Amino acid sequence: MPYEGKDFGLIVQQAVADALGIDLEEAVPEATLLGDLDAESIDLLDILFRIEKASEVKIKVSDIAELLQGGIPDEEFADEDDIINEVGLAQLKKSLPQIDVEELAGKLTADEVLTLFTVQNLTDLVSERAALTTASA
Amino acid sequence: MPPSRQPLREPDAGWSPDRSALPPRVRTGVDLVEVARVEELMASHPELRERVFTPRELAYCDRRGRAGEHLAGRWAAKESVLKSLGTGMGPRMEWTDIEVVNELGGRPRLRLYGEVEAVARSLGMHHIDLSLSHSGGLAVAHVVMVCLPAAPDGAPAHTPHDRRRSA
Repeated sequence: MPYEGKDFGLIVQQAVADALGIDLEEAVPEATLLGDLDAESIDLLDILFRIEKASEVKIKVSDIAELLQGGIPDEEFADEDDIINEVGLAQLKKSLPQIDVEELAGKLTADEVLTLFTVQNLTDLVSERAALTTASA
Repeated sequence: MPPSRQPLREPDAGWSPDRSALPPRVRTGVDLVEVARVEELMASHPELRERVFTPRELAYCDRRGRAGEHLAGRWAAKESVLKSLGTGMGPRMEWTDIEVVNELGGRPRLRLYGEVEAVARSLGMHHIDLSLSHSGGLAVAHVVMVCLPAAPDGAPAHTPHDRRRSA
């Protein structure tokens, strides 16, 4: 069990703090990566690689949007104006449980989705990926 | 050169009738990055070099006195291409799907592969051009993509939304 005993919460927080050059206390679970913590795409690459080294869980930048969408085809996820629809919001709620679906209904555009992504969401993603890998091993 | 099918004074001259109402579209992307950030990232995680840059890009940069500036320029170029596509780092895309190569005179050119190339073609990409610069510890890249209403191979061009709906 390669992941046994690993504290993914701490691993992710540490990776975020180290990559962004901030204190561990600032990388709180509820902080959004691109919003609150001002991470840029190069920082995301750094964070994910640090997580991979510390946890052996490999997540690529290009995996994140795909995982958030949960395999739902684009045309079923958003309407013609790229506003995330009911089906899309229900899917996002699974990966981003903190979001208020009613508040975002009819407003959330596809390019805004990643700005809702928090340190905790990343931790959950890493934990899920680890569990999947373990289950298929 | 064969005579134009229509008089040149006609606004549709040079265009086939079915796309006369659809002029070429220009898509653009720009990115600015701190050279030190790229240098630091590649120094702290050497394994990332091969994931982000192609062997040809690494060979070019490593031959230069200030490899970091050239790597940063190439990072900015990759980001600029993704911005011009409007997708960001989409599913199945790899950083190495975007390669900066240099002509004999040094002028940078872009080569696209894999999923990045597929998305660019679906947008009707006809030509893509790149300019790079660095100064004061920063590297900047600017990409301009010219998209035709119909892709050069005859396939219909789509907007990102159209592409999604037809996927």
